[in-house]
Amino acid sequence: MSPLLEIENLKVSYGTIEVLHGISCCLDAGDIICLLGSNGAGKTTMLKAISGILKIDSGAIRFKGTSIIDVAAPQRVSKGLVHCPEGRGIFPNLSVWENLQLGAYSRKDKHAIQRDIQRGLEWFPILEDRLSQLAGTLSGGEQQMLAMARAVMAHPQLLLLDEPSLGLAPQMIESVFEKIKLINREGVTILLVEQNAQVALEISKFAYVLETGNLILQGPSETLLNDSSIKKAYLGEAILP
Amino acid sequence: MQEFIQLVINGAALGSIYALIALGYTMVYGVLGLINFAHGDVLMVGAYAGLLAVWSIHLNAHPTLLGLLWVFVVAMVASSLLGVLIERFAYRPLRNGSKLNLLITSVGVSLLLENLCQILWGATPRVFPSILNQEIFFKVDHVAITNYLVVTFLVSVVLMIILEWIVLKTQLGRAMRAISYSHEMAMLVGISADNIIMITFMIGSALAAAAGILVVINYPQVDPTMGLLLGLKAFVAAVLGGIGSIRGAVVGALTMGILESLIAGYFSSTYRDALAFIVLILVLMIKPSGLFGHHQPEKV
Ligand SMILES: Nc1ncnc2c1ncn2[C@@H]1O[C@H](COP(=O)(O)OP(=O)(O)OP(=O)(O)O)[C@@H](O)[C@H]1O
Ligand SMILES: [Mg+2]
Repeated sequence: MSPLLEIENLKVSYGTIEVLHGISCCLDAGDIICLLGSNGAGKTTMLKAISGILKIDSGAIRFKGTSIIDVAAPQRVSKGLVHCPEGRGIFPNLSVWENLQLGAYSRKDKHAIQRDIQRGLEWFPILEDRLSQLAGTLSGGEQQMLAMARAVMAHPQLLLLDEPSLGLAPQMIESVFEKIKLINREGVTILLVEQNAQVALEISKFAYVLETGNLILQGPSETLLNDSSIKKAYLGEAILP
Repeated sequence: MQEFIQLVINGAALGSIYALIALGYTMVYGVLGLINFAHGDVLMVGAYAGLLAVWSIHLNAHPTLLGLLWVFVVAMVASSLLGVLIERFAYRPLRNGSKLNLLITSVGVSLLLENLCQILWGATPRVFPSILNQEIFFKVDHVAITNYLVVTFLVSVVLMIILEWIVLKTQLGRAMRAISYSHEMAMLVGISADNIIMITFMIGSALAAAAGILVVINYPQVDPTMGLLLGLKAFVAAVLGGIGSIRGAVVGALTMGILESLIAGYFSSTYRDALAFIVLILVLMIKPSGLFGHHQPEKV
């Protein structure tokens, strides 16, 4: 069986400055895969290239075995590839309920949407009492919950999560990681970008480490977690306590 | 007092016409960040299309309700097609460039439309035949409600209710608001900006055409530059309400219409057109974001 997502020699630039210098990787269906790296390494850029909001210079991206390079970003969502961006990406000027509705924008089975909103509220009970509230008035943690609940509304097969724990209190971070595991248990493959390397390695099966536009290290998360020399050399003291 | 009430009612009718036009400005601004200077000219083309519709069924001989509806439909369809064409061929190719380029292009489109119409129809105004018998519908004391006022209120209120429903209650409306927040975030939930922007132009242009027909029923002539002043006043109304805000456009337009009517009634109608400029200057000086303009803090 082919992997869910295959990337070959991906190059991406902003203007004349190349920030991804030929990335190759493979994501297997059903896993949580984490993508680590320091600030400015190119993690967000890589996710943007996968979801299609950034044009790539060269390389191949195959989703479920077929190339998606010529597929526009909105159509990638209906194929099951959903990107939950850095800074949540919710619509602050819309209510929580409307945000959830828009999560299902690309779906054809409109009748099932209400049922899925109910399921979303069971998974993210924090949203239940806030349905008519403007999303912009939610707390940071609530916004992250909404962003994930909305992403799930699209019935993703692959979910790209960009720093979901950014700026949240420890307790909320724990809760966010619980939800990530929950979503994964429901059969969604997750590519998780995180600064919080320790936790990310703990919940993921496989890990990639990106440094200034190159993948410098990859392997089972367990291996990375237990090898202190790897920790020191590649992940640095700052991100691994 | 009677005179005052009459002037306010007449002004509200005028204001609801401005509102139909202002909604187009504000919606396009919402999804594209563009002041569409060609909007008034789309109205003008709609009025000409309405004229063709009148001729096509010889409506001027004896006005009927069905005929009136026909004129509205033809004008609105023609304008929305034009709006789509303008968006597709003039604005879309430039969307990723600077906003200034878009703005200048819209001025260019405006001039192009005016000159094309001048070539087609000549610069002299054409008489727009009467398609509605101007008579008094009912009267309370000395305050007269003509059937023109009734039609104006009916058409604008119905269209605004439909618009409100679309924007607030449908997936399309939610997508419009999502795009007005961010094209990129909207794409990430699967919204194609192209489609939504196109539909926005369709709706805005159709509303402008309806306004155009309401204008020419009362002031029965069409000419290639008729969209300029109307467009300008509606634009000021949208700025007064807070551009980008739908409710603001309606409130701003009603305010403008009533003020204009009062000025024309109590002072002189020569000052009525100056009002728009005075209001624009005052708004820009005192509260540039307008009555309903919002600067929402965004949480990250
Ligand atoms: N829009 C842009 N224009 C120009 N350069 C950019 C742009 N966005 C990112 N870059 C540059 O590309 C490089 C990679 O940025 P990217 O946002 O992908 O990093 P990241 O790994 O997500 O970092 P962080 O952990 O801080 O989010 C950085 O050097 C950044 O300055
Ligand atoms: Mg980033």
